[in-house]
Amino acid sequence: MPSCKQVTYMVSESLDGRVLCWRERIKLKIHLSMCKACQRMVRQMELLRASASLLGNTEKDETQLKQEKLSQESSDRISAHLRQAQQDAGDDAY
Amino acid sequence: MNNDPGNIAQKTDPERWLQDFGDALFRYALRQLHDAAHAEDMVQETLLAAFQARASFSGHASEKTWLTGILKHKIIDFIRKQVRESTVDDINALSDGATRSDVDDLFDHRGHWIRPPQDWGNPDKALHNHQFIEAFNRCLERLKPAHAQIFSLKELLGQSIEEICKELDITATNCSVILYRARMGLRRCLETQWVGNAPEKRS
Repeated sequence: MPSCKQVTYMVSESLDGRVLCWRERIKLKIHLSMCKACQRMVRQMELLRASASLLGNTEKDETQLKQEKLSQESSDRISAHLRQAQQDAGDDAY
Repeated sequence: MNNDPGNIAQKTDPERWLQDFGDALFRYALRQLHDAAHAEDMVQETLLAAFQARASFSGHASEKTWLTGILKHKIIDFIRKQVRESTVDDINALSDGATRSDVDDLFDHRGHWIRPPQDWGNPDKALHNHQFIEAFNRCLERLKPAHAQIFSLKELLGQSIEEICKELDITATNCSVILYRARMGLRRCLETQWVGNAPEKRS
């Protein structure tokens, strides 16, 4: 039977998309049916995935997150770069 | 004011993009890079690239979607470069096997939990809780940069292990080990950052 440590690695691997063979699946299932700590770990791993995917789609969830903004300083800097790029493009065009 | 609908320059004015979408792009980059200076650079590079590629904007998608797509590529390129530069040693150390340091002291010599995971309560509630998401962010910032970035590529940007391995030139095993470390690190950090401070536990 796999140890709790091995089970944590198997769960992580299966989150990465590795398909466990039937033997591993049975061992995992039996272990989880008997081990409350590892059941919690699985739920936590799943929550990590859901949280990450929520952050990855931040555009849709801006209200949930702190409203960070570009600083005036960096906004000015970017503005200057953009003007320069437009100027260069203009020079090329005419 | 010139309201001529054929005035392309006005429609694609990069400074207007900065004004309208700069903050949103910045937040998007910040979520994945966890560093304000790097996120600012990404916004600048995105707008410059968008300006260079303005002819390719088809108008089928919204400007914001188009710009976010460019930003996403810029972020992936940036992470790739960072991971390549900063983690050769880290990855070499990991290839000896996942048998040392941070993960190990969670388990005894037979692989049983020394500190069993705590109950984090209802996962749906946590996901909709501001404080949980903020704690998750803090914990992501505390991971080793290479671990956080590979975790971001995989879980935030949705790349497959195969893509990550190919782009970063590491083996699938190394990649799984790093992701395992990252998940265990996050989990452990959240045990103190979230469960330790869970509001419902206090009342």
